[in-house]
Amino acid sequence: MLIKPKSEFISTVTKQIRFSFDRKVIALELEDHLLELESYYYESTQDRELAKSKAILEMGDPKEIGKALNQVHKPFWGWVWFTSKALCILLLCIIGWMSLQKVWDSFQSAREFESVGLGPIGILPQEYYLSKLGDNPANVYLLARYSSSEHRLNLDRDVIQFDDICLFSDGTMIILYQDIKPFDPFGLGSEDYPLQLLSSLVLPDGTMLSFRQDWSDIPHLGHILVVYDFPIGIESFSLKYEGYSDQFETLIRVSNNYEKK
Amino acid sequence: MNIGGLGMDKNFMGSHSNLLILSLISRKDMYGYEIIKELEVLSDQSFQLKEGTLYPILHKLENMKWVSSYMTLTENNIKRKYYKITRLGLQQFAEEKQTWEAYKNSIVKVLGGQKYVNQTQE
Repeated sequence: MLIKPKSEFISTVTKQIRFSFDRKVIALELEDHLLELESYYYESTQDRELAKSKAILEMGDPKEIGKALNQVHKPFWGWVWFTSKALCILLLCIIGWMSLQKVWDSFQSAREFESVGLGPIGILPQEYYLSKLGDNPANVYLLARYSSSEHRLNLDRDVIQFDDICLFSDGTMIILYQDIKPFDPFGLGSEDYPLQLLSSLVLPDGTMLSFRQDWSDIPHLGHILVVYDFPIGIESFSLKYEGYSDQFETLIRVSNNYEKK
Repeated sequence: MNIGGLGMDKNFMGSHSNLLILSLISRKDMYGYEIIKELEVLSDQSFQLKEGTLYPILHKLENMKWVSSYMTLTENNIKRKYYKITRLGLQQFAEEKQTWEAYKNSIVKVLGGQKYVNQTQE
């Protein structure tokens, strides 16, 4: 009788198993078994080749063994298991990637602040604002800078941080702020709280000024609120917010007056 | 499952192969070849389990979560798969053992009457 070599025997068994991902472990298990049998027969025969042949004969018909194993290693459940494992890994990768992006965004934000010569919480150079002001910015200059009595405010689920409040000589007031959201990689609970729509400035005489949306936000730096025709010479005023579930009013005072150009 | 010498029907013990294998693995973690040899020794060569029968049974027990497996390296650097009984496997073993005891007692009763059962229990 022609005895198949060990590798051929194992390969014949594993070929019968349709769920290919299980073949490797089965091959390892059979190889170990064959080696044990070989050692057993070698002890009695002292003939390596004879021992190998006897071991393979002892194992039986490889096709039959493979078919029996194939009955147990069902491809359907194998694939279900394999797919769920792959999906879990994919999900972890997506979560990891989104978290990395968040970290990278914060890092970029910090770098951009630094690139304009300011710390992560700071102000932008007036040239930036001037470049966006009116038709004739050459005649416009920074008149005053204000600061909020509360640098940070809890607003619904977010935190609002006022970074820069500037008044220009043409009566344009700009408020630069950050909307710091809780960690939420899928944006499930994320809502925007439009300060432009839900808040206004209240002057000491009770006059209310609404915000305009003429300026776009600065990527990575923050959101911008713009008010035109703000009266010159006002020392303090308040910003009033009336949101979905929260409301606040914060006092804003002059921190720096600048001389006319 | 071949029953050497006793001339028993293969099916007779085939239905109890789970019980025998779970019994062996419940004592210590074992690998395939070791299970076959241990079974031969403990049964005085009466039970000879063929490889083509053993591995599908072991893998089925693993699917049922009655046994778990792990790989180790032997002294000769060969990867070896060991089987370990699980808590679920121990429960199954206890149930199958109980069924077997009841079955055995019934056979004994039929063969030798109540007197014979009492004698064997003493």
